[in-house]
Order: sequence, then structure tokens, then C-alpha cells
Amino acid sequence: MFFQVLISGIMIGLIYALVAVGLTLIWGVMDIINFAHGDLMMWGMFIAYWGFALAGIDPLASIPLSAIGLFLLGVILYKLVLNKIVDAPLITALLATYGLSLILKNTALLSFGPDYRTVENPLLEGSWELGGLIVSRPKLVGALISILVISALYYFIKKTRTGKAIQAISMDKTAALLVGVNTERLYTITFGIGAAMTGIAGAILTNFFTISPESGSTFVLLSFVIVALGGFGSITGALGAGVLVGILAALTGFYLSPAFKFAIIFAGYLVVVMIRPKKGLFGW
Amino acid sequence: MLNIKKSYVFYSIVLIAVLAVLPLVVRGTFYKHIMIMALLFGFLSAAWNILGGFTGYVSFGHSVFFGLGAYTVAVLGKNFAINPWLGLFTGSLIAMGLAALIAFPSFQAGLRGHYFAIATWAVAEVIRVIFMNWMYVGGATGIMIPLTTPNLLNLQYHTAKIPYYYIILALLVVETLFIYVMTRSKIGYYLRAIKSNEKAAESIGINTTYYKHVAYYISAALVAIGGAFYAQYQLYFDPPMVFDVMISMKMILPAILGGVGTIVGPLIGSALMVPLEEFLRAYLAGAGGGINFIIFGVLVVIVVVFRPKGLHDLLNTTFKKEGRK
Repeated sequence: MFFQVLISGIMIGLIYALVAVGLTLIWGVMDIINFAHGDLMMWGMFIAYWGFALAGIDPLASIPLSAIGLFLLGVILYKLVLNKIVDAPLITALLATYGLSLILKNTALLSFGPDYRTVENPLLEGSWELGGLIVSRPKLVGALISILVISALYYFIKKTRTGKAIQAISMDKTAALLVGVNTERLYTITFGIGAAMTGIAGAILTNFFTISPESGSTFVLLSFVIVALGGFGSITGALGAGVLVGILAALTGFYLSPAFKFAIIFAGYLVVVMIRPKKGLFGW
Repeated sequence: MLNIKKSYVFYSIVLIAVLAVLPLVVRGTFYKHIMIMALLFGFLSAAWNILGGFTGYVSFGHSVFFGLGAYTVAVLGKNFAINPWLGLFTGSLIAMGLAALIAFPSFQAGLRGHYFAIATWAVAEVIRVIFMNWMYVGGATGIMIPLTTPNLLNLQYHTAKIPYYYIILALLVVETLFIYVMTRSKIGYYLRAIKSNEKAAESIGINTTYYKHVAYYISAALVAIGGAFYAQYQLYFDPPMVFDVMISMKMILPAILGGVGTIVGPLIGSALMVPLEEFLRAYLAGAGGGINFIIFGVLVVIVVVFRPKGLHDLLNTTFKKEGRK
């Protein structure tokens, strides 16, 4: 049974990591805590949900759709609000994104109502039996897609010209400006990509998660904690921390009580942050 | 002793007099409720401001002290029949205790900025989950305060609003006076020194850790007093009503709207935020879920983006311009 719980923890953890990777990118580059991150993801879920309910597009096929939709939403939000608060004090950015979170969540509430929805009969359902372990199909495929997307993002940041410019900004903004990096354009791209990550994660979650305007709320603090555990702006750190958090949540939920699964993680985070404040578990 | 500017004394007395007469003029329970909540959140926001505004340590988790204050007074009253004033006092001691538990390791580790904010939020979330599942305090169903004779000693007046109004007004006046004296004293300067440059403050011999602790404890204790008042005012509450991160946000917002790290900022902010929020809820919430929050969110974004220094600053600049003419 332990391995059963472990495997399901790893799978869900990879999806957590996908949400957190978007956040860590925004945090690392723009030094903004994005309070609206969970609500962006919730919109990704609704794009996939309505694609399925209205047009019969399977959530799996909605992934690019939702990614593009959220990228555009991210760009719009950046141009309207975030570019005015990039260099503002911490608390200004916090409240602006908190306001955005209220707007995003309640627009969904106004448009779709508070109901909890699920996708009926998607392409991926049920489970496979692998060596005595029962593995949920949507979770396994979702986890594999998460790995793929995170790897692609990692490649983009480390190897491409744009990615290197983004890295340069996160290291030293002034120096990046001096050597001719167009920070405004790159911030837009960064925020768009961060939002697109939540779009992908949202579409994946639609396969096995209940969809409601509140669905994103639990992910906000959870992603903050994963990002902080993984170390400031680190993609690989977020990946590791996401998996760890997924495992810990699954084990707590199974052996203790589902009510405490996130409380344990937050408590664990507190211990880590007190010992290694800025580096988290994997930073150095 | 209190070296207060004469013009301040005059304006304050006028303001307090207006506030004292207000509930006698204003009719309707709803309006009185709004006035009470505006004073309460002014009180809470000013308390948050001691740590978040003056000292520069932004806490996302101050709802935890609000909740502890509310729960202490309720549990002591319900299970031990202990007087609410004693409960209020005990609650603020417990809040200071928790603040110490957070402060010691996090100041030791040098947590600041985002990291401090997230850590305080994580603490609040853990405590919220504990209270949701702790049957002794009523769990998710919440807790009701036993009804007794309505009077000041029992700190409850059931459905009457005016006595609650005067109690919270008195608390707010005392708090503001306290904060005024504090900011004009040594400790006030030390806190602002910590905010602007902690290392520099330390290098000129300020024991920064000590003063950060002091700011945190005062802030937590005051918020707990606000929580105890809220419990006695509502007479029933459940964990989300007192522990939700929304409560922390509603303490932070007035300070930002009015002006962080100023004395009147949180009060101005609350006088705007609470009525706005309550009217939007009253008139628009029925029109369809969430439209009131959308408008509220839009206003928050607009104010924050275009007036990052708060309305206090707007007032100041307007007055100064007039003065120059």
C-alpha cells in the first residue's frame, strides 16, 4: 500500500511542480509574488472544461488551447497592471495581484456559478495495473506531460537566446539593461509563460479534479511553498520540491487524515525555511 | 509629558466628537454595523501597521492573532464561564506567545520580505486547519458565545449596535494615542530605522532583533483584542470567519490604501474600504455571485497601481499645494 500511495504522490507532485514552475519563473525574474497564480490555473481548467462540454474537445487536446489562452491572458494582465508595479515595493505588487485574484475568481463565479463540475467520460479514465500497482491513467499521463513541459521550459531558459536574456534579468536587472536586454518585452514573455504553465496544469487537472471558481485557491500558498522550498527562481528546485510535496501530501492524507495533508506541508516548510531561509531544500 | 502638537489635539478632538455623535444621528442597523466594522478594521489595520508598516515586516498571517483572540474569549466564556474582559486579556497573551514562537526562529533565520510574508501565512494556515478539526472548540461548525445580561462587564449587547460602536471607538482612540506616543518615542525611530536599513540600524548600535520582537508582540496583542471584540460582537463565528487569509488582507488593505507606516493611513483606508465593501455586498451580491468582489478587486488594482503611496500621500500633496498658493 505504501508504494501505491507513493506513486500517486509522485504523479500529483509533478503536476504541482508544473504550477509552481510558472510561479518560480515570475518570482525569479520579476520579483513579484503572484497571488493570482491559482486563479489563472482555475481559468485553464475552465477553458478545458468548456472545450469538452461545448465542443467535445477532450481535455488532453485542450492543453495547447488552454496554454495559448492563458499565455494571452497573462500578456494582457501584464500590459494592463503588472508592468506598472514591477519595481514597486513588495506590498504594492502583493495587493495588485491580490486584486487580480479577486477579479479572476469572481468573474468565473459570475459567469459559471459556484457549482462543482467534473468532466464525464474523458479519453483518459480508469487505471492501469503495473506490477501490482494501480496507476490512474489521467494522473500518469498528466505527470508525463508535466515532465515534458518542465523539461522544455528548462531547455528554453538555459539554451535559447530569449531564455538566456531572462536569466540575465533575474541575476541583475541593471546589468541586463546595460547590455541591451529589452526588459519590458521579456517581462511580458515571462509572465505569459508563467501563466501558460498554469493553463497546461489546469487542463491536465480537469481530467480528474473538480472544477469550480474555488479550485485555484488551494494552489496559491501551495505553489508559494513549493517555490520557496525549491529555492529562489530555480526550475529544477521547483520540480524536486513539487514531487516531495506531492509525496508528503499523499502519505499524510492516507496515514493521518486528508484534512491535514497541506497543513503538514506548511509546517514542514516552516521548519525548512527557519533552517535554510533563502535556499530552500535544493538551492545553494 | 505627552508632547503633542496643538493642531493635532484640536483636529483629534473635533474628529472624536464627530465620531461620537455619528451613531446618534445615523439611523438604521446596517449603517451602524458598517460604522462598527470600519472602526474595527481601522483598529486591526493600525495594529498590523506597527509591524508591517513602521518596521517593514509584511505579515500575511495576522488573521491568526485575530482568530486566537476570538477563540480565546469564546472558549473561556463558553466552557469556563470566564469574563470576556479576562478572556480578551488572555487572548492577547496567547497571541503574543504565538508571535514569540514565530518571531524567534524567523528573526534568527533572518527571514525578510517575501519569505517572512509566506512563513506567516503558512503559520496561519496550519492553525486554521487545526481549528477546523479541533472538536473541543467546535470544529468546522464554529462556536457560539453564551448569552448573558447585556452590559459592559459582560461585553455583550446582543442586537444593540450603539454600545459596541462606543467600545470599539474607545479602543481605537486609545490605540491611536498609544501608536502616536510610540512613533514619537525612541522605539518609533528605531522601528523606522529598521525598515529603511536594518544593517545600518544595527551598526549604529540599535538592537534590531529586540525591537522587531517588541513590534511583533504589540501588533499581535492588539489584533487579538480586535478579535475578542469581534467575537463578542458577532456572538457566533467559525474558523473561516476569523482565520481566513482574506481577514489578513483586509487588515493590510486599509494601510496600503491610506498610507503604509503612517498613523492616520490605516484609519482613512478603513473608512473607505469597509463601507465600499459592505455597500457593494449589500446592493450587488444579490445581482449575481461575485460582482461586488469584481468591482472591489478592480478598485484595489486601480488604487494600488496609480497611488502606490496611499491616499494619505494624496491628501498631503493636495494640502501642501494649497498652502503654497
